[in-house]
Amino acid sequence: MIFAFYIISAIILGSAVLAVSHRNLIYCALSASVTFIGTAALFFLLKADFIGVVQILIYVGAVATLILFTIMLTKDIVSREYYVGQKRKWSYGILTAACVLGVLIASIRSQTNLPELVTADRQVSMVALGKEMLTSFLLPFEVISLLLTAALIGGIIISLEEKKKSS
Amino acid sequence: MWGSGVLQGMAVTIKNFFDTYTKKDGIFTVEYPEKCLPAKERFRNFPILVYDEKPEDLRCVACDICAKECPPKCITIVKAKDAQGKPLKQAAVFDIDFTVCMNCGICEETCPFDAIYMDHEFELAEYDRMNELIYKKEDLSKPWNYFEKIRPTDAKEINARRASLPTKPTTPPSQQGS
Amino acid sequence: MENVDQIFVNAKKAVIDLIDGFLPPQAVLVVSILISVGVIATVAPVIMMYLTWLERKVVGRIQNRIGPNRVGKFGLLQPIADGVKMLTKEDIVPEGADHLLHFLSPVLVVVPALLVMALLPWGRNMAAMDVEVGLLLFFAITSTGTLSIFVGAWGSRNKFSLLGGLRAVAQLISYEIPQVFSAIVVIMVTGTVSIVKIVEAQPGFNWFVFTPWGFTGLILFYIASVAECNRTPFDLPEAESEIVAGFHTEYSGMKFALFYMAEFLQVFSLSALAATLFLGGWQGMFLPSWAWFFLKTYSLIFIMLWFRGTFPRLRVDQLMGFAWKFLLPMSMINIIVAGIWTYAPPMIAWAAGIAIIVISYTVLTKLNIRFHIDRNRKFILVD
Repeated sequence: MIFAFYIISAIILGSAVLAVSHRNLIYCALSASVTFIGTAALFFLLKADFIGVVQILIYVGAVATLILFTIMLTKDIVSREYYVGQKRKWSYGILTAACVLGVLIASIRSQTNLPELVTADRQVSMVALGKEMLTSFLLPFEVISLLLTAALIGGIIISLEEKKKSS
Repeated sequence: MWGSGVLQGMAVTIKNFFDTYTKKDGIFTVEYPEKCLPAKERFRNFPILVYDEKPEDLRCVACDICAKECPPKCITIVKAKDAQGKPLKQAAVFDIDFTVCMNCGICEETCPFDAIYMDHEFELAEYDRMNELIYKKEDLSKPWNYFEKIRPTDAKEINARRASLPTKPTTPPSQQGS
Repeated sequence: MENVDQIFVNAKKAVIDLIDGFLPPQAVLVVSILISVGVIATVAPVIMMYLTWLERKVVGRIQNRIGPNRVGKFGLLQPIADGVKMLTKEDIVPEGADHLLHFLSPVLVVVPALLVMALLPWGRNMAAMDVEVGLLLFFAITSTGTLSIFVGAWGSRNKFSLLGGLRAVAQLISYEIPQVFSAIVVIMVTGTVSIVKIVEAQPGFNWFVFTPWGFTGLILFYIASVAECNRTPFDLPEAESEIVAGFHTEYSGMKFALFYMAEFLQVFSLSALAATLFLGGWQGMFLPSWAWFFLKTYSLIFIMLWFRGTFPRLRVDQLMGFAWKFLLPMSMINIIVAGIWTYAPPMIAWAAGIAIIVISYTVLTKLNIRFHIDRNRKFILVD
């Protein structure tokens, strides 16, 4: 179990570093997809099947596709416009990452009542998840659906405006 | 109802599918080397020289009209000569180059002696152009009843016309030149 | 009868028992997984090969001609000849193409198609992976296939391939939604997402297709699946006359064979899923369960081949319009009908279900008509 965790973490870290540092935008987007799949693998390791599946479905199936569409529609393929990035200074990035890590460690250590290490024995069933979502967490559920509706309507209005502008 | 056109189209295709198994001519395919579609009667491919009884007695008298009328000039005729050098009414050399012949049938139309006709044979592929595809007089000779078999209506008309012609006693080509 | 039904399960158990004494338990587990996976990985390409044979024969018969019948009796060795041809073709990679993406993309397209074969229940107790979220995992894995097509289109460095890829991805993501919505009705009524349990909820001959929501659901799911596989009449992305060959223009030889293989594997797995969700999977009497599974799947595949022989291609705006304006509202209404079915007594549920579906179908089709054809108009030839 721990062995699998190390392998998956190595994959996630490697692809995440590649996603922020590579010069070819498409390779960055595809490495981001690998990171998403790795995160889904972590969820499966924790026996949260539903969340893992939804992670693949939404992140890889929708978000990564959206990112790739954006790159494709705005950058020219033949003239290699999708190669970006000038020389970067790694020192700034490493400094920021170290600060964030320090804050995280400090805040976790300052907790006095840390729960026990959750082993992957307790499995939350989908039925329980669904019930909780529709009873205790009903308000956030409805707010999220409103948010998605607003995004859909916004997309339609923007494309309608484009049509009006071009006609 | 919307969608009924879709179902009608599908009904037509599935009817065709089952017809290939049940009806006799449900499948239009003729599986070629094993079965062959019979050629139509007036199908013309390459010419043949016809004879009535003996292969040496060809109807052709080497008048050279077909060679002159042939558009790509694929026919080569050399009149036969007897011992004294007098020309005979037969051909010594009658070559048709099948690589040049364009199957137009003009030789058949212009022959005044009903000697050359278009055949139905088309499986004539060879490996060697010079030796195999220049057909000599012997290769081109075919009997008249072969022609009657492949083109019966034309043969009937030709026989009727020839029967009504006044007959002259002629020496058959095999006995000329003696 | 029981023996024939469980013949494959018992065979695997016999092999596992054979090696149980020799190896430690982890190795036995690994061997067990390898057996299941190995069988699927061998059977799936063979299924795909003979699916190409079946397609050529069936489409040939619809067109009043014999399909291939020269290579082996009835043309049964034709797929092998095709395979040899594809293998020996020269692998051309365009000069400016991205070599890594060009190489990876056929592989990335085949992997999801092969992977979902492990989730299907091939017979009683014969699902290789019996997870609790099986159906959702199926949809998640097939949705990663759209990304791979995009990678393939990008890797060719060809603007026309890119446009073809864009259209292909747009089609795939548009038709995923009615497909998943049609599958949701099954989840609602059975209360579980596991494919194995969905099949067990349809005992004997009470399949879901004999209910109003099941019948509509099957038709909607099936049409959306035909579009997901890029089959005629929805094969705009890969048709030969459209932008050369769409997104797989620049792929030759084995890479093209892999794209082709992925398409046929998807045909099989989506037909199998439709048969499992709505037609009762391996349920049935008299025949062994895996025989029923193949019978139902191949009936649905025959209908897909029948579509191929009958219909012309849809244009891209007609394609998108069909998904968003007809299939999506229809599948949402199907969900309402399934909801009524779960909570109302049987008579009301049947009546309400059929009434709602018929009314909504008529309304939606009337709303979707773009122009009116006057069927009574007479045309007179002018001399």
